[in-house]
Amino acid sequence: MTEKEKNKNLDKNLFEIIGPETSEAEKLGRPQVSFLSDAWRRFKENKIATVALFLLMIIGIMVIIGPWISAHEYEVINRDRRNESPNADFWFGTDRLGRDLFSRTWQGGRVSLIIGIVGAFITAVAGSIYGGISGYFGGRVDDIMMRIVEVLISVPYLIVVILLSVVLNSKSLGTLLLAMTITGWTGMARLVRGQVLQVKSQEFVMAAVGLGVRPWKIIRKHIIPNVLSVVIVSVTFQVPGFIFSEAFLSFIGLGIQPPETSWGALAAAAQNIYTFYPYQLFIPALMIALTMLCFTLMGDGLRDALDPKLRK
Amino acid sequence: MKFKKYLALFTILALTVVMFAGCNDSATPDPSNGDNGTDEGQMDAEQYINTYLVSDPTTLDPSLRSDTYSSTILVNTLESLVRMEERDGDYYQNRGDAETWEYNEDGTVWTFYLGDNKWEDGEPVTAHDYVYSLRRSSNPATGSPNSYFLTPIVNFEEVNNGTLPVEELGVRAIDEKTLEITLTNPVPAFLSMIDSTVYYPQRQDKVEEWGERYGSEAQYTISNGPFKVDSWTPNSSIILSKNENYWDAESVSLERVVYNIMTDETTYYNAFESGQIDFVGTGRTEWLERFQQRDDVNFNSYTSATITYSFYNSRDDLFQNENIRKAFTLAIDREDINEVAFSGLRVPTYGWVVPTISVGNTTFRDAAGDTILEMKAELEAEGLTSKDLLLQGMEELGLGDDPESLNVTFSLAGTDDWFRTLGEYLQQVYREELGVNIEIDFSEWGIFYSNVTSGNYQIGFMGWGAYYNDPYDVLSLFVSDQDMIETGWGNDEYDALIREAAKEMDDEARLELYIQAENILLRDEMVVSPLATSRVNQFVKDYVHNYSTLGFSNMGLKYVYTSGR
Amino acid sequence: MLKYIIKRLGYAVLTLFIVVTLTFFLMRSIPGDPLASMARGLPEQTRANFYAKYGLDQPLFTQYTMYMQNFVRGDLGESVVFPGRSVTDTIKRTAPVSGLIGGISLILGFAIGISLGIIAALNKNRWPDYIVMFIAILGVTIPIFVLASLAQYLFSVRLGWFPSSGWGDLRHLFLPVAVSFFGPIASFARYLKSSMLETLSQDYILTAKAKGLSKRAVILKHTLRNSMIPIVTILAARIVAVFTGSFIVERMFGVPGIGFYYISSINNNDYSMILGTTVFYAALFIVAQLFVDFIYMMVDPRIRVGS
Repeated sequence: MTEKEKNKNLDKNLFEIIGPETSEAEKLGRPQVSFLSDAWRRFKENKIATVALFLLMIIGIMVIIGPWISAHEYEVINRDRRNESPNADFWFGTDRLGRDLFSRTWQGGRVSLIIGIVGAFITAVAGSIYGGISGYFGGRVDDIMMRIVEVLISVPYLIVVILLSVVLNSKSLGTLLLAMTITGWTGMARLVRGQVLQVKSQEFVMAAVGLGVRPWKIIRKHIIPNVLSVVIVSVTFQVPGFIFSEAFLSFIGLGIQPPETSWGALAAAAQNIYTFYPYQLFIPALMIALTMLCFTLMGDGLRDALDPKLRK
Repeated sequence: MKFKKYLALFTILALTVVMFAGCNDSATPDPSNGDNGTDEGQMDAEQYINTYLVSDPTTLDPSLRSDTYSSTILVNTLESLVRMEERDGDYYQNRGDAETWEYNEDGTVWTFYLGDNKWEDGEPVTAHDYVYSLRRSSNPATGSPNSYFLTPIVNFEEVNNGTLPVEELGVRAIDEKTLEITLTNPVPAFLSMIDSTVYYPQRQDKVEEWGERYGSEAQYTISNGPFKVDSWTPNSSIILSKNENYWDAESVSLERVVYNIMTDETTYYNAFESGQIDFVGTGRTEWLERFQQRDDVNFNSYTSATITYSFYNSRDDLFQNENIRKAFTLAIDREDINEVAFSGLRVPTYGWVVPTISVGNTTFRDAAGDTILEMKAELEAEGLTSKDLLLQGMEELGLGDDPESLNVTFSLAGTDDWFRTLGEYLQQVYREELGVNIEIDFSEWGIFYSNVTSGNYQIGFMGWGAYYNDPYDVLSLFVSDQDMIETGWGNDEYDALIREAAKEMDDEARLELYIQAENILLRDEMVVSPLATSRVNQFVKDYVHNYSTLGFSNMGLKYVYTSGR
Repeated sequence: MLKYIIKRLGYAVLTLFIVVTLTFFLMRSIPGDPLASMARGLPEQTRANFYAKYGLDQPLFTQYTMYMQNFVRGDLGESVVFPGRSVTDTIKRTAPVSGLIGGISLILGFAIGISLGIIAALNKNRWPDYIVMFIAILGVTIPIFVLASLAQYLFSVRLGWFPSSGWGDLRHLFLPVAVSFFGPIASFARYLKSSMLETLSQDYILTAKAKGLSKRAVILKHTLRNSMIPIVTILAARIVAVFTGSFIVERMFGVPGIGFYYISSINNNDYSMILGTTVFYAALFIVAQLFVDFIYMMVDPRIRVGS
C-alpha cells in the first residue's frame, strides 16, 4: 500500500477533538478590557514614557519634601554666606542674599509646577471645549466664537496682568494664574477647532451622521479620540510654556513676588551673574529642562497609548 | 522631493529679498586692530570713541528734555553761557557762549557778553537765541517738564501759568551779543544753575520750521556745542561728529562718537569685554572685580550727587509720630545695607545733603557732621535702642506695646531683582531690630509714583539727583508749598530758613542757615531717612584720556582724546 | 467666495474696533501716567501744562472719541514719551526689523522642523526618532533669556565671532536668529510628527500602500498634506510672533525692533504707542487667521469654514 492509502485508513478514534466547539464560537477570546486599562497597559510598555513619568514623580516628591529635609529655610538671609558654591552646608549653594538654594529650588518648584500643571489643565479643558464647539457647529457660531478669540489674543497680555494685580490688589500665585489663563486658552481653542473641522468632514463621520447617530455619541466615539493626540501634544507644550511665561514675567519684574520664588524667577535672578556663579543659573534651568523633557516624553507615550487605532 | 525642493528655493529667495529690505548701512567702526601703532602720549591718527547709553533719549529738544540720557547727548551738542569743567581734578568754571559776565549790586540783574560762537550751519549764536529758548520753555503751551528751573527769573510764575505773555519774562537781548537776565531775588548759585539743559539756546527759525518734529530725529536738531548729531537710529545708536564751527573747536580732538543703546547689563558688560565699547559703568561687585584685574583699563570712581533714601508719609496714622520715624531710620545700619543691598558700591550717608555738595570751599557734610551717626551714638549713651524709640512712639499714639501688631507696608518703585533683594533685606532688618513684620509692595514706577502723589503709602524708597552744587537744590525740596518728595510735611521755621539762605550771598552765613535747616529736617523731625550716595564706578580703556572725574562737571567728551588704541 | 471674503473683512473691522476700545479703557485703568515715568517732583503748574498739551486733562470719554476720530483717518498719533515721533513712523521703522529676524527664524524653523518631524514620524521609536526629538526640544528647554545670554557670552566674548549687540549688517543678524529659531523647530517638528502618526494609521494610507504606491508618493501626496492642519494653525500664531518680535532677544542684542516698544511702552504708560502697536498686532492676527482658514480649505477640500 502507498502512504496515501495508509493514511486514508487511519482509525478515527486515534484522534480526539479538543475544540473549539461550535457552541464556543461566540465566546470572546480574551478577557474584556476597558479602554482605559488597555491604554494604561500600553503606556507601561513604553519604557521611555514610564521612566519619564517616574522621574516626574520623583521631582514631584522632592518638591513637596525638599524644603522640609533641608536644614535651612528658603527665605532666611545669611549675610555672611552669600554666593557660595554648593558645599556641605548648602547642598546647592547660596544666592546673592545668602539663602539656601536647595530649599529655594524645591520651594520654587512648587510654584512652577502648580503654574505649569494647573495652567495647562485649565487652558486645555477650556480651550478644548470652546474650540470643539466652535469647530463642530461651524457656521455662524464658529464665526462669532473665532472673532472673540481674535479679540482676546490681540489685547496686550501684559496690560491684563498688570491690571489684574492692581485691581485684585495682590500679586499672589492665584492672581498670576488667573492673569495667565484668562487669555492663554485661545491657542488650544484654535488648535482643537482646526482638528475638529478636519475630522468632522471625514467620510466616517458623515456616515455616522447619515445613520442618525446622536451628536454626543459622534463626538465621544469619533471626534474626541482623533483630536486627543493634538491636545496631548499641546498640553505637553503648555506645561513648560506656562513655566516659561512666568519666567518671562519674572524677568520683567511682574512674576511671583519675594520671598516666594519659582524656577523662572531663580533663573531670571541669576541671568546677570552666571559667568561668576554658574550653578545659580544651571540648577533652575536644569529643573525646567528636565520637567519639560519628562512631560514631552510622557505626552508622546500617552498619545500612543490613547490612540484607538493602535489597539491590539 | 518636489515639495522640499520648492521649499528650499523659496527659502533662499525669501532670505535674499528680506535681507535687502531690512538692512541699512550704518555700521559701527570695528575696534581698532592696532594699526595705529603710536608712541605713548601721541594722539592716534583716528580719533573716535565707542560708548553706550542704557536707554534711548526721549528727545533732543532742550525744552522738553526730562531724562538723563538726553542730557548726556545734549551736554555734548549744545553750549550754555558757561560750562563747568575740570582742571587737574578740581572744578573750573569755564566760559561758554558768554565771554564775560557781571551782576549788579544786589545780585538780581545778570548781564552776559557773548563771544563769537556759531551754530553748526555757520550762523552766529546771538542773545536772541537765549531769549527765545527761555521764553519757549516758560510758555505753558510747550509743556516743558523742567521749566521750574527758571523759577528765579522775574515773572516766571505768571508766564508759566498763563497770566502774563512770554514777553514779560525777565530776559532780554540788549543787542546781538548782550543778554540780560533779571531775577526776583539774588541767587548765589546762579552760575551753576544756568549750566543746565533748560538754559541752552535754541534757534527760533529752525524750531518753527520743524514744528512738532524738533528734537525727535537727527535731521531735526541743530548744535552749537563741541559735537553735532549725525544720525540717530532709535533704540540702536546715536552718532555724533565734531562741530567745526564750535568756538573752541581746537580743544576738541574726537572726530566721531558712537553711542550704542544697550539696555541689558550683560550686553554692555560683554561689549566692554570684547572691546566693542571704550567705557563701562559697573553696578555689580563681581564685574567690578573682574574688570579691575585687567591691565588695559583705568578705574574711574567718584561719588555722584544722587542720594538713595526712604521717606515717610507724615500724614499716615503711624508715621505722623517723629519717634516712630526716628526708630525706623536709626534701625538701619547703613554700612550693612550698603554691603548687602548695594553691593558695597555706594557711600553710606548720614545726612540729607550729599557729600559732594559744598558751600564756597567748605564741604557741607564736613561742617554739618554725620547727623544720623551722632543720633545713634547719643541713643546708645543713654542705653536705648531704636526699638525703644518705636515703643515710645507707639505709646504716644496709644498703640500698645507689641510691635508685631503694627501694619507697615514699604513701597518700592521697581520689580526687578535689585528691588527684591532690597525688599527682602529690609524685611529681615525690621523684623530683627524692631520686631515689626513689614510688607513690601513692589510696583512699576508709574503705579508707585501715582500712589505716592496721592498719599497712598507709608514708607517709600527713591533716589534724588542734585542738579547743581548748592544745598538749596536738595533742601528746597522740603519747603511746604513745594513738597517735592511728597511727604506731606511742612514747617514754617524750615521754610523761613530756606528762604533766607536762598538770598544770602555770604558763604559762611548761608552754610550756617542750611545746617540749621537740615537739623530741623533730621534731628528734630526725621522727615526722611537718607541711606547712601551713589558712586560712579566706571572703567575706561587706558588709551582714553581727559574724561570727567567729578560729579557736577559738564565737560562731556569735549576734551577727550585717544592715544595708543 | 467673494461674499465670504467681504463678510470676513467686515468682521475684521468690527474686531479691530472692539480691540482698540477694550485696550484703551483697560490701559487707562492702570494707575500712573506717562509724566510719572519721565520726571518727578514736578510743580503743579508744570504738570498741568503737560497734560493740557497731550489732551490728558480732558474727560476720559472725550479722549477716547478724539483718538477714534483720528484713528479712522489712519492717524495713530504721536508718542507721549518720545515727543515728535509719530506712532505710524515708529511702527513702519521697527516692524521690518523684527520681521527680518522673526521671518528668517520662522522659515528656517519651518524647513528644519518639518523635515525633522517627517523623519521622526517615519522612524517611530527607533533611534532617528529619539535623536530628532532631542534636537527639536534642545533649544526650548532653556528659557530664552538664558539662551541669549549664553550665546552672547560664547560667540561674542569668548570666540569673538559676532558682535554682542547692535544692528546694521549681516553679522548682527546671526545671534538673534540663532537664538530664535529653536522655538519654531520644536513646535513644527512635534506637531507634525504627531499629526503624521495620526494620519499614517488611517485606513486610506494602508490602502495606498497596498495599492503599491511608492513610499515617497505615500508620504508626500497623502500623508503630509493631510497632516498639515495643526501646522497651519500654529503658523498663524507664529507669523504674528515674527512681528511681535521677541522683547528679550531685542533687548539683549540691541535690535531696534517693535517687540521692545511693545513692552516698554506699557511700562512707560505711553498710551498712543500702546494703542498703536496693539492695533498693528490685532490687524496682523486677523489677517493671519483669515489666511489660515483659507489654507484649511485648500489643504483639505472637505473642510468648509464658516456658514
